[in-house]
Amino acid sequence: MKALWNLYTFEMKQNFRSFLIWFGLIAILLFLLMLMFPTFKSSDYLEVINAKINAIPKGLGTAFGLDSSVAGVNFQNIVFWFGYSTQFFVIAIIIYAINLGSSIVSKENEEKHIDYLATKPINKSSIIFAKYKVLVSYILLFSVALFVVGCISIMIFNVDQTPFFKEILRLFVKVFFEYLFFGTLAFAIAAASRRTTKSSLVVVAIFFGSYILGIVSQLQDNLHKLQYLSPYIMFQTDKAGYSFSHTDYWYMAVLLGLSIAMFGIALWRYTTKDLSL
Amino acid sequence: MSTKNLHHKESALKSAITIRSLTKRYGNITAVDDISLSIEQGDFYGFIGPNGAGKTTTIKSMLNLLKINEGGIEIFGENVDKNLFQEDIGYVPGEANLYDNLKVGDQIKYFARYYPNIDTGYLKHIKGLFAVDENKRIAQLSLGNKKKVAIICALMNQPKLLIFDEVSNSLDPLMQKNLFEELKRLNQAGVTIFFSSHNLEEVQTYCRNVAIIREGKIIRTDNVEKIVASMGVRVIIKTKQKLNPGFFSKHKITHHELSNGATTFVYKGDINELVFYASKYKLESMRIADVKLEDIFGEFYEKRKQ
Repeated sequence: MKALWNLYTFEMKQNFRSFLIWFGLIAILLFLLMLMFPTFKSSDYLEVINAKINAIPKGLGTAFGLDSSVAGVNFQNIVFWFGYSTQFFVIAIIIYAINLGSSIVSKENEEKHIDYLATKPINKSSIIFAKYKVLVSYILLFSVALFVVGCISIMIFNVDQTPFFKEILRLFVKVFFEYLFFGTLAFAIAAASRRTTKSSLVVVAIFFGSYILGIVSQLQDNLHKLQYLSPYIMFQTDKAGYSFSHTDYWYMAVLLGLSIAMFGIALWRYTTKDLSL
Repeated sequence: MSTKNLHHKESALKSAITIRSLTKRYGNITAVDDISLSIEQGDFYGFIGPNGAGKTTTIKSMLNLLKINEGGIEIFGENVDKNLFQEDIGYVPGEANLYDNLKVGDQIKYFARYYPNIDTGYLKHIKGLFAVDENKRIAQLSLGNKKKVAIICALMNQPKLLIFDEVSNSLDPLMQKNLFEELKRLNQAGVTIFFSSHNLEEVQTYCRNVAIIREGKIIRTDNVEKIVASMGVRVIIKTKQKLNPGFFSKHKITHHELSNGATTFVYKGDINELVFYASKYKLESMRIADVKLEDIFGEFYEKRKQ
């Protein structure tokens, strides 16, 4: 237990700088986007914006969270604006989770630190468990910290006193499962494969593949079911105003279940493969 | 005899390392092929072989860093798969790949935290012995200094078994001396030392037993003194005349002519016959010395080439 804690705290420190950079940039950009809200709030722009949104082809609108058929596309609503702004950061945070999930395992092997670590009094399952704990901790920390920044920025610009807390909380809960799923996928591939260097690229490709499938699913009714292969489309942040649907609960449970299963595979493979090259 | 004493006796009889029919393959390549070794507790054991012979693969298999295909490995009587050996060992890999972004002091502290009881007095002693600047970052260190940090990290827990892979590479002669003096002292106190090396003189000087590995197979294991004694003597003859090759072929001697007109060879036959043979020439000099492990290694290597 002491060894696991030692590795956990060490890895948390090792990855703190990268977290600060990613979080700092995203938090600043989010705040800057919220700074633009009062401009959109001005009624002078409303008609122009709505006309432009209606003119966007459906697929393109879906890709950028501007599906005009979705009720609630309203740039005068601060919750919609926040959700709309957040979608770009969700992609960035997914890439952060993929990068962390992959590097936390592969770096140890590529830089050959594993020869030292695995010969210290810590077993292989504790190594993989401690590292996964770091991944989940940073995803959680990212989500909570960005939620706080989001709430503060909304409070500053929310002149109408629009209720937002539950809406934003729902949004952050849903995307947390997306981060967890893609981060765990990268983690599992890095832990399971012999050559670990390309796991993040593979998972980024899987993410964008699923993203495109999600958009395709919105374009044709007969391909509608493809959306289930795209967590990003399933949890589009511009729908932050909506309550959790039955599908949302089900989908979160599936992502959590898949993450647990992938961690199980990572644990099994890591303890049975060659650690050192 | 009490149960406690029985256990103690049983444990004392156990080998430090037991390797049974170890085979390790990388795809179609067999890196280590059905090797068996037994290293007794308290031994100072050398493991030699040319590059790519399977030394590092054997060591990493012993440490459960590699999953073996066949056979079994035990450290202090426990299968290495159980991962019960780490508190009792210290390991220095061939490459000193420590955490570049850490300061030396933080690196040492980080590894020390894995052990329940670190003797700070002993840690201070080895830090002093290897004289590393704890405020420097690992990335700023030379290869030799990184190796010193790796050695400190391997010795810090005062292990019962030390496993070194090419440990003295990149250490300066003074540090090599400090290292081997410390190892000698630890060995006298009962610590088992297993180390692979290219430096055969080092192995001959410090090791009691040695295993020679070639192309993934153990070709000889024995007491170093016995091996050396069985190999005869090392002869260097310097003369301006050309030596009669009949003598070499009769004794199946592989000889090497040196650039300064000297000829060197390992001789296993009757010493009088050698002196008689040499007396036929006008010698500038003749030296007879104990054979070096290097010569033995050379002989095995020559056999492979043939």
